[in-house]
Amino acid sequence: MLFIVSLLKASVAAGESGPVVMLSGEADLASAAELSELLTAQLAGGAERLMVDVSGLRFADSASVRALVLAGKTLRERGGVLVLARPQRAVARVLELMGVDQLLVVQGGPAQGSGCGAAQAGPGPSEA
Amino acid sequence: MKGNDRRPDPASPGDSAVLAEAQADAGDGQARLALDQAFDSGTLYALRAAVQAHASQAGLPESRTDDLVIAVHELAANAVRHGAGAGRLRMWERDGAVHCQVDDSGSPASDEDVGPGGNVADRWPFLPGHGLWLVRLVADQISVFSGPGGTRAAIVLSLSGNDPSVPAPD
Repeated sequence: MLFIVSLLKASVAAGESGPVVMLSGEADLASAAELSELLTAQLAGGAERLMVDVSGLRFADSASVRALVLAGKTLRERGGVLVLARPQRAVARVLELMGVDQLLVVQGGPAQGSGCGAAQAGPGPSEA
Repeated sequence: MKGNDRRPDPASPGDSAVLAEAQADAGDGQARLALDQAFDSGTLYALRAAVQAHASQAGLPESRTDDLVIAVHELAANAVRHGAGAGRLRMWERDGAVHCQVDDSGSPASDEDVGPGGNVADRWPFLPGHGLWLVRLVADQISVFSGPGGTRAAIVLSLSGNDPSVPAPD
């Protein structure tokens, strides 16, 4: 499946322990509603673990992160978890500022060992 | 997307006044208007790209450039969502800091939301996790004024990472 929503591209694959949503491009309020619908559709099957691979996502705004957090909340309420995998630097920064590392499981990503609020000077990868 | 086709008129009156204001505001420092760009719900991506390019050009470190893009986007998104549905960004550099001003011509906040001098910054929903909360976290200065002509939000990020609101010792 391939969805094209403004600059956000999303695809869904079946993973070993639940669906894997791959996001790439840029996620902002223009695509937040569609992102929310996509996540809700994946949760409708009763999955307890949803992996969202955001390694291809260059930007996510607060509206998009809110959609992810809401999906994570639904999963938590059924004893599950939403795993956000490999955020790029700018996305990791929004997650950090919004403090959602408490609400979602964030795995990997270029922002090594950060998470303590200060504007970190991590050696992030240089990217275009 | 349910946005309409309203697009800011690039030749709307008042632009030259704002530019003059920016230049007059420069005082002894040199102000260069780096960016003057209209936006609506369908063009926020282009706004982000332009801000990123100009911030890098101005010498803002990468992590601060990320912060500036986040802050400007959230202000613009706020104008799209809660204001006129469109607006205009001006960005300039002065005295070692990047200044950004986001204007929308939406209906002003109600009287009870407006504090002394029309400043609504303290009444806006700066709740944890809210977009404007992010702006306050990353900007060195923020001010939001609402009046009959709309809302103007301005932020300042220092190029060096030092807070430009702290006056230098005499």
